[in-house]
Amino acid sequence: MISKVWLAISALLAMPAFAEMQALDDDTLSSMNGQGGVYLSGEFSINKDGGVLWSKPASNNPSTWTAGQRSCATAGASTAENCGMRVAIRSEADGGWYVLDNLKGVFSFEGLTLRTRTINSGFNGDGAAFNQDVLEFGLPNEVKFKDGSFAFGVANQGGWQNKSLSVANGGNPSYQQTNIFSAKIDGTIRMQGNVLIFPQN
Amino acid sequence: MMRSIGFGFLVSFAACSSAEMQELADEELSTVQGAGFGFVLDSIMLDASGANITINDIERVRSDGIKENMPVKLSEFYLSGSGSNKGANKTPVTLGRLNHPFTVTLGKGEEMRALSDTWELRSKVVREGGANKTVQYWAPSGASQWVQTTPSNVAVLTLAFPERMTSGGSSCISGYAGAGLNCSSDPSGRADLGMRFDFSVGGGRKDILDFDLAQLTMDGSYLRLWGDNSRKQLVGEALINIFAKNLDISACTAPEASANCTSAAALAGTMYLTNAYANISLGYGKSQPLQFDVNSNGQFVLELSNPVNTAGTAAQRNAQAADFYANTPRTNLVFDNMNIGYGRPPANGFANMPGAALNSNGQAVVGGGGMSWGYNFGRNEISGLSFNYLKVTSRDL
Repeated sequence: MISKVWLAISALLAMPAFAEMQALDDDTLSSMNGQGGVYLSGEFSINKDGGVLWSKPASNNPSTWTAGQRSCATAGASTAENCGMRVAIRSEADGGWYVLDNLKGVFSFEGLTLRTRTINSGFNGDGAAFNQDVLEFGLPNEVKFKDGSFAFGVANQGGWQNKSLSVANGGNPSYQQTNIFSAKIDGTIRMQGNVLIFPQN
Repeated sequence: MMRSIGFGFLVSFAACSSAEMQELADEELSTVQGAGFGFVLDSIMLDASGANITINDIERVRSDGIKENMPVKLSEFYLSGSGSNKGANKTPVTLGRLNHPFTVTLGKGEEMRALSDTWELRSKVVREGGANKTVQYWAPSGASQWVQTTPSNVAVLTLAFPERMTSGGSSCISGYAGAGLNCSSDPSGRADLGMRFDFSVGGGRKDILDFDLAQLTMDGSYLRLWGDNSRKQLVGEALINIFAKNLDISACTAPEASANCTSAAALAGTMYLTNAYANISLGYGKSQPLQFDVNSNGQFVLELSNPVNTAGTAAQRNAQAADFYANTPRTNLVFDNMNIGYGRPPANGFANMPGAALNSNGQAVVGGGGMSWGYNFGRNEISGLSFNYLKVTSRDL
């Protein structure tokens, strides 16, 4: 294999006049396929140490917080906790808001791949008739979570306000948020397989 | 290198007359359809047994009246190929086929179709107030049809599972024709799915709820979303089809410190459903879209409003009602066999119900033949249900 590569390179060196890049005509260009792909490993963290909007108060009791403080520990917890990212969406004019709240944690994965793949066989006989290119996301075998969390709720305002404080102190007693549920994830989730994506009419 | 690029530019300038972008004429433009992409989950497997997942914000009340968070631990969460024996032997599975994939599309409301049973108006004579009276009712005619359920002139975002077909499909549940023979998924594309919830209810006790689905397919399910101009909100319609060969739901109580219930408690508290399927239809876009709401008080509201416009004339109301009854996909819930505590029934059902034994007082007791604490409920079915009105709202306790 190596000797063949060297042979090809030396042939190129020996004949520089023929090695110049040439414009491809349309027919040649249309017969070419993209090749190769991307292999991704990474770790990213969201609001691991809290965000910019609120600082962590000393206690978990909302009536003791100042205007710039908020804790996202569950009700009744003894210690306060940093808050994660908040996304609020309103799906109705003059309505309330869906809230994805306290999204934070560290997520790491190794071996997320992205490439194109031609499928023209396999898949219980479907592949031959399909015969086209797909975009293939190869899932990493393992995704690690550390202190991952999020909460799903509904609220009457997009931005969070402290209902235990008076308006004069930077709160809003009429603010209402109901968390439907929240979740915490720690540890490793195994995800294997590929997601094949292709255009569809 | 520079020279060759320059050469490339020259060539492209020389050829530009044929490569120029052309405007589309109106007729050409009108034939362009909204489109999207399809996806197939190839050799997929999911296993969260190595992670600690806790669900919070569900509260319990202590004996002294104080409310506190009740942690719910999610475990034994897996998605595997079928034959996993409740997740013990996980294998990869391919969900969706290349010619019948999952799809995410943006389309015109007037061009979308949903597979619905056909319904016909029948009449029968009933005895009421001492007199005979003819009443009319809608009943399934036994065939299925593609109907338009979404309103016209809206752009609809659709997330759809592999479709169901009017011909050429495979059985939705293997060996059980009652669930339909029109699923596009291959028999090898059925998945096992399970999850277990441990509710720490307090007082040193936890309640365990464990779900295991075997040979699950969800063909024909979809979620469609669009904006409703007059209501000024996001609306949609959803059909959730669940076909499972087996569904085991185990509910039992254990001390907080124990990992599991005792095997006797787990057996006695397990509901075994065989050949189970559900078609849950929420919303009929043309006249009764599903409204996803959060009201201005910050509470969640899910609503299916009256499909008939009460401000219309009698003829308009009748036409709306007739369209609603004739075309709305219905909700069905069918368990071909349901029993609690016996264990999974053999392929042809239980040979015999356990014989009644007599106890020392001469009273008949259930449970002869070693099958104690078991009850066989046989076939259970709710079919052809449609929601005339539904409103679900959250409340802060």
